[in-house]
Amino acid sequence: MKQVPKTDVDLEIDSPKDRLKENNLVFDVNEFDDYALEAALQLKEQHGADVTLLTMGPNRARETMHVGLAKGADRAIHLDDSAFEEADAYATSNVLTHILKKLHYDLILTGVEATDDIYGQVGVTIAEKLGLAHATVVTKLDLEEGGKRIRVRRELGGGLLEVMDVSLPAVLTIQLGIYKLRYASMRGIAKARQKEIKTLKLADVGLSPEQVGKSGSKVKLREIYFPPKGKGAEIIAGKPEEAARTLMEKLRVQAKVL
Amino acid sequence: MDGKIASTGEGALTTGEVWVLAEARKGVLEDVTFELITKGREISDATKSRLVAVLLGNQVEAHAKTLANCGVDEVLVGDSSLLKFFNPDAYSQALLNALANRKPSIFLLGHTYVGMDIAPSLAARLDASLASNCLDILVESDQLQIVRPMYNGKVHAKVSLEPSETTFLTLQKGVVKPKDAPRRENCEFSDLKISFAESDLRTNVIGLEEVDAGEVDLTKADIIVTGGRGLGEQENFKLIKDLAEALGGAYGCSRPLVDMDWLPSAFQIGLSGKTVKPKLYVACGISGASQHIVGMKEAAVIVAINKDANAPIFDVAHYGIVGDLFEIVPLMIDEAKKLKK
Repeated sequence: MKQVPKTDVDLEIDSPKDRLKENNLVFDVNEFDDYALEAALQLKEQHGADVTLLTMGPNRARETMHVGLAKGADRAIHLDDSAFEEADAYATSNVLTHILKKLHYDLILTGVEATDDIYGQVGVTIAEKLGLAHATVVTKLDLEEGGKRIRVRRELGGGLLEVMDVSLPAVLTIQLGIYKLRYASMRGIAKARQKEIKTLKLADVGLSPEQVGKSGSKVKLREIYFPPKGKGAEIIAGKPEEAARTLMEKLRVQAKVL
Repeated sequence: MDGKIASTGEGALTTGEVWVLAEARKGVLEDVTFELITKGREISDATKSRLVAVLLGNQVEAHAKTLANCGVDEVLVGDSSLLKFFNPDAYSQALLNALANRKPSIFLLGHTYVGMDIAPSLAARLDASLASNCLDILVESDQLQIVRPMYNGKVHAKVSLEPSETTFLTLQKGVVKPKDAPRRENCEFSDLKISFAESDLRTNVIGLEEVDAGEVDLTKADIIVTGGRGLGEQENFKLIKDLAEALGGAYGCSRPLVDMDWLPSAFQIGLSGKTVKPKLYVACGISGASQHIVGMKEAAVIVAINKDANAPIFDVAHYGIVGDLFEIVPLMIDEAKKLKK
C-alpha cells in the first residue's frame, strides 16, 4: 500500500526542480491500494484469509498502515529507510520482492497504479521477479474451492471485460470500484493498537544502497514542471454571469458548435 | 538482426530494430496501433533502424495486411489459437521468445490495459528499462528524451533511462496524431513462433463480456456534457442532465460516479469506458486524470468547468472557466435556453 500526496490541492515545485515542495502537501492512501485492501478484507471475511500490509515509505506512511489495520488487516510491515527514497517502479519492486521472498503468501494484491508517479508497473514486476502468475485491472475475483486458482474479471478497455482463471500463488492488480470501500470502525481502530507493525530497514531487506532508492532506479527523473497553461485553453474570466454568457457566446460565434 | 552498437551513457540507443505492438479487439485494429506506428517510424528514422509491427492473435491475416500498408518494414505475426484472447502468460511467453532471438533496441507499446500488462512483464523478465505512460518520446543526439505525467497529470516530468539491451516504452493513447505512410517496397511478413503449450500457461481465458452499451450511443452524440467528482452528491448530477438537455446533447460521466453507483457503466467516458469524439464536450467538475482524458481529448471543442485552476483538464480544453460549477452550470443552462428561443 502506498501513501501518496493528494493532487486536488495546489502543488509547488521545489528547487532543484525534481521534486514537489512537501510543506503544503496532504497525504493519503493511494486510492487504487485502498481498493486492493478492500479486496483482501473481502477474502478475509469470505475465506478466513490472513492479511498483511506492506508499505515502503517514510514515517508519515504509518498513518496509512494504521488505517489499514483498523479496517481489518492482521499485521503490517513498514519498509522505512532513507535509502529507499525517490525510487522508481523498478527499485520499489526490488525492495518489495526481497521482502516477499521471506514471507508466505497465496495472493499478492496491489493497486493498478499509484497516482503520484503513475507507472503502473510494480504489481506485474513483483509477479515476474517472484515467478508468479498475474492478472491486472481486476474488477471481480472469486477464489475457487480448493484455493489453487482464482477466477478474475479484468478490464481490457473500452467497456470490454475478460474472465480469466489464474493459478495461485499470483499477483493481482486491483482496479478502482471493485467493491465499496469500508470505513474503519471504532472497534477496528481500538483493535488496531494491538496489531504488529514491523519496521524494516535496508539491512533487513538484503540489498545494497545502490540497488534501492534513486540509485537503484532505471528511470531517472531529470526535471518536473507544470505543463504550459492554456496552450489551447482560453480561460474565460469575470463574474459567473459574465463568464457563462461569454462562454456560450464564444461557443456559438467563435467555435460554432451551438 | 543482432548487429548492435553497445549503448554508451545514459539514454543512448542501440541501433537494433524498433518494434511496436499492434492491438486488435473485436475484429478491429485499435487506434493506438497507428499512433504507435507513426511514433515508431519517427524513432526508427532517427536511429536509422527497421520498424517492425508485432501482431499477436488468432486468424489475423487481414490485420497483418493492413499493418503492411502502414509503412513498416516488417510485420511479425504470432497467429495461434492460444493467442485468440489476451492471455498475460501466453502473450508474454510468445514475445519473450521473439525478443530472445531478435533483441530490438526499442519496444513501443500502447499505454492501454494490455500494454500496461505486457510491458512490465517483459521488462521485468529481461531486467530492462521501462518508461510507462509516455507523453512524448524524442530522439536527440542518439538519446531518448521522454516526458511522462506525474501527480494525476498535474505535473510533467522529463526522464531518462538507464541503457538496456531493449528499452520498453508505453505511449499514452491520443498523444500522437497518426500519419499515413506509403507501404515500404521491401515490407515482409515473418512468423513469430509459439513454442509453448496450453498446459504451460498459468492463466486461462474463459471468455469476454461487454458492458451494457446503454440506450444512448455516446460515441455518436454531437454534444456531450459530463460530470465528475466535483459534483459532490448524486442529486447534483441533475445539473449535468439539465445542461445536456438545454444544449440538445447527451450526458456522461467520469469513472468515480460509476464506482459510486450514480450511473451505470454505459455512461463512463475514459480508458475503461467509451472513447468519444463529439463536436462539443463539456466537462464539469472533472479533474482530467489521464484515464479520463484519453477518452475525450479528440473532441472538436472541449470546455472545462473546474474550481482548480491547475486541474489537468485545462491542458486539453479549448475553453475553460475556473469557478464553482454550482454557479456556472445553472447560468450556462439559462444562456442555452435563451439561445433556443
